[in-house]
Amino acid sequence: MVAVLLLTSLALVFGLALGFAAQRFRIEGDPVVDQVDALLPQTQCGQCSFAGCRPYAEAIVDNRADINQCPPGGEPTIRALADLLSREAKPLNPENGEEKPTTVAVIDEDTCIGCTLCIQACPVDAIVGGPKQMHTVIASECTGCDLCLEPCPVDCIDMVVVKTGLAAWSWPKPAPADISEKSAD
Amino acid sequence: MMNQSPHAKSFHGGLKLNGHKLESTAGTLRTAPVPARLILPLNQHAGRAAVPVVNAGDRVLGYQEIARPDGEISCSLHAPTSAIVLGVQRLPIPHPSGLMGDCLVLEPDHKNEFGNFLPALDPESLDLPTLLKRVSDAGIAGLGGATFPTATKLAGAAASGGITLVINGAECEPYISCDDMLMREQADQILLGAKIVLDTLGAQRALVAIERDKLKALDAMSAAIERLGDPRFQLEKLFTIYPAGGERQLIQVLSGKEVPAGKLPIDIGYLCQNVATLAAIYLAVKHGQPLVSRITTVTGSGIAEPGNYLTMLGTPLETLAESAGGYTPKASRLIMGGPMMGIALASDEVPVVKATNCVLVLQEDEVRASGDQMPCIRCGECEQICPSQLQPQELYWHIRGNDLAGADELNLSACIECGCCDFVCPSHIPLSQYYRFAKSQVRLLDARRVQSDIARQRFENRKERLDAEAARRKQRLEDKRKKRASQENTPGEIKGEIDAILARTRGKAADTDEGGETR
Amino acid sequence: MKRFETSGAPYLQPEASVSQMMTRLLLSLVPAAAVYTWFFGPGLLLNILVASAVGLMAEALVLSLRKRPLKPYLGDGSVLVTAVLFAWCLPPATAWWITAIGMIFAVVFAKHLYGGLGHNPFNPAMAGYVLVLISFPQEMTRWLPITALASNGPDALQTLWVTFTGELGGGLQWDAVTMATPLDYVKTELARLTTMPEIKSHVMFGDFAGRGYEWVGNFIALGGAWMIYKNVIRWHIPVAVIAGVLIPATLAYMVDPGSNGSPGLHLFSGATLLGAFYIATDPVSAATSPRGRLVFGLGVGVITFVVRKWGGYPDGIAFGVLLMNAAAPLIDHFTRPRVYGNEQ
Repeated sequence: MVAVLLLTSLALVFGLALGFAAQRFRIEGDPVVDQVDALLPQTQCGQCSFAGCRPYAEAIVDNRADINQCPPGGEPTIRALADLLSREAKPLNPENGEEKPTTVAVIDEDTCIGCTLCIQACPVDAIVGGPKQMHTVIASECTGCDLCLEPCPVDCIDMVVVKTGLAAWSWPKPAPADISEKSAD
Repeated sequence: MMNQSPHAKSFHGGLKLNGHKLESTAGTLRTAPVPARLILPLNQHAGRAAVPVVNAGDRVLGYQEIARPDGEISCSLHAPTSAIVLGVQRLPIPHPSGLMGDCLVLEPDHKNEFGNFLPALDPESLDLPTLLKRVSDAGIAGLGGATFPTATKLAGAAASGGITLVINGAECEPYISCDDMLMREQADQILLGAKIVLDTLGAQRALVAIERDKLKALDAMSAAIERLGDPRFQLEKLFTIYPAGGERQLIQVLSGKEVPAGKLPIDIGYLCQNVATLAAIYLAVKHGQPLVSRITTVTGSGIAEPGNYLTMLGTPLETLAESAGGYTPKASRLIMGGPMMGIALASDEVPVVKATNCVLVLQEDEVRASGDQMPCIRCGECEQICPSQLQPQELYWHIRGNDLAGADELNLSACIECGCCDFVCPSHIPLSQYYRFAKSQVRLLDARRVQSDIARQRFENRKERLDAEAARRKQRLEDKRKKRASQENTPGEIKGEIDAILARTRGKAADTDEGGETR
Repeated sequence: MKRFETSGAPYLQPEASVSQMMTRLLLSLVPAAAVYTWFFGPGLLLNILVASAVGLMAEALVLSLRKRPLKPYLGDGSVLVTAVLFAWCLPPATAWWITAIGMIFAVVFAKHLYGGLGHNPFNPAMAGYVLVLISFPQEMTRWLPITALASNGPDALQTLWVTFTGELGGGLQWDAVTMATPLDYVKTELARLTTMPEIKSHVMFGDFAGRGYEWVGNFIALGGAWMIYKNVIRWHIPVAVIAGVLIPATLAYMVDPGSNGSPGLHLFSGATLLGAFYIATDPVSAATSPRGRLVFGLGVGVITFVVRKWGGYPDGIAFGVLLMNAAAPLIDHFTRPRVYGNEQ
């Protein structure tokens, strides 16, 4: 009898505590999507087959997409996503593209006819210009997504690899870490 | 004003290293010859690269400005002697990456004509803005090795009152002796430079910090302090422990205070200046002479005649080594800086820059071998000697597993990359290299995050704008349709009535719905 | 123009190496081993021989199975250190297969299954010792008295015979030649309500503890002091272990000297000094921060005392070390030093 009472009261107490916690610590929105979105490179290029980084983030969280579909992020992004979501890291899916050096779009201003099609295509508003006016790319805002290449009727846009100067240089990771790792490879 | 007993060592850990200083301090200060070509990297200071203001083919006089600073944190460059400008070329620079950098190349005409570009100023009646402008115009950067633009550092110090100037004569890395030599030869210049800084900043005192085994430098500086007769100056003797000359460690020894994480020494009232920087300030103010040369120690078993050389900036290391008797047959390593924190250079084409306090040439059998690492045995020796009191072994585990966030949590940023942990590690793990790798990765990732945050914001703004436009267009269409409907009279009257009735019933339904919900 | 090799700073050659640390540790044990042999015969040396041979073979086998290079790992001396410390804990005339079983367990299970050198959470020598202590309780209590007391004890040849056959030859009886260790004797006699002064009057006791053991202890402490001087170990763990044993022992002795061993007995008996200077200081399985090491050592000492006073075994160093090994990561987590420029 005492045992039954004890168990019932325990169940009640814990039920109330859980209910209270659910109300008190409720989180609006989906923080996981935000966290995934924060790890994506925000090129908004759509190579993942979704219309931008956030939709891809939502798809990952809903298990509609795998974590290896982002070529601009490449291996570091895959590893970060794998860490965050406790999934297995895997190589980039070749169907989505391959890792490339960071590029920016450059408009050949002599050829440009001012059709504004690229301006409409740019996901981050990094191209300025008006109808029948020459267009130009704000290089510092360009994410190198390639989306402006397709609509251009005169093929006046080139993707140029960003020069990685001293500022983008990193000390290499010492390798191998020790003898045991060397021979394990 | 000499403290008789040295300060107790009051920072954590540190090492007693074999100094190797006598090789280069045995002789007197010599002057390196004018080389056939002067190579002046545009970025030889912390911050943005300087912008050239001369063109290929120009003839420039000594002391003439040849590149302007770009922005707040940058430094100008001057011609060390009269020369013809050959232009800007991409050449190897003294940088650990081994990458090329833009350099102004001059061909000295050996006439040694100097212009009078900066008028001499009176140190007695100098105000702060004039000093800052002069220091900036003279292209002075911290000569201890970090080469942060001095004008910017002084401007930061000007904002806070009641500061203590620390005159850093602690040259703790083995082999290097250029500051020692400067203190022996030019003690007055150093103190007069310090006095200028002291007077213009309204600082209260100046502590001259020198290790106790630099006897000649101590004598020279203490005699110079007596000659100066300024009660604000005080000589402080230090124990010879590496890295006592590190800014944060030195302040800890002198004051017992730590510089809080993420803050600068000036935030706790201390301004550290290397002795050579102060001498450069004196020359710039008193004689209008910009920074075009520095003392460089050329030493190591790979050099035939080690010594200290007054060297023009831009002199290729090859020329400098030749004037020091050339290399010994077994010379195999070229290091700019000391053996603990210096950078290894692949060739001696690179020039002397503002940061070149030492050119060290070693033989292979003196240098640690790579590739003989054993696993970490957690002996904790690294932790015992870490001046920042980090846990080097834990940082190593995190970084080895690419867990940069974990390393960050263990205060990776407090690491001063002094190399003490490498030196004591019985497993010969290249710990400092792991920390340098992780720090540069953190820096790059941060930069990338900033970029991607901007891109996300722009993407969202655009989406918002497009949505708003779409909504507006829809609204306009709706309005137009309504307008057209009301203008068309005959069928419109009936249609209008129907519409009105429909709207009313819809409204009622909505009302009841809402009522239902509230109830 | 001349070209040069490049690598990352610092360039100075490191001053220490793992093999140098291990060699120094072994060297520092030589005087104590000589004294031990002087008092108790060549049994210890035979144990060391067997343990080293088996240890090296096991290490070589596992390294080749794990496809690791043999030379650096066999040459680093860590196996020899494990072998010597393990052998030191065994009675001086132990059958070879017992030594071999313990050593194989130490190297294969306690060390390599966790990843080899640098990765083992538990002290391999102690893991091996506890295995044989539990598996061969009878054999593990067959200690020899000092040779001065044993007119009929086994000579060198007979010890060799015992080590390699496990049998006493020459018509000797185990009961006649063995003698309990001082700690063992104290434990059994106290259980029989004999008082400490009476116990101490036994011929096996010297000034503080067992005759012979005192001298071995002195030389172990000497070797340990030399290791501290040479930076092979730091002072924190030895001091803390000794304090951990002595503080409760002294308190107990002050309260009731009749039924508690004196602090001197605790210090010089069993593996207190060997444990403090050589076993608990194994860097791989101990705590790393200075404060952590003090906590770790105190824990080892107190557990040792508790086992000696209330436990089922006469000595407790092995249990103390293994239990504190398990706690080491936690200790390290909570005793992280304050980093320069940061609040605690």
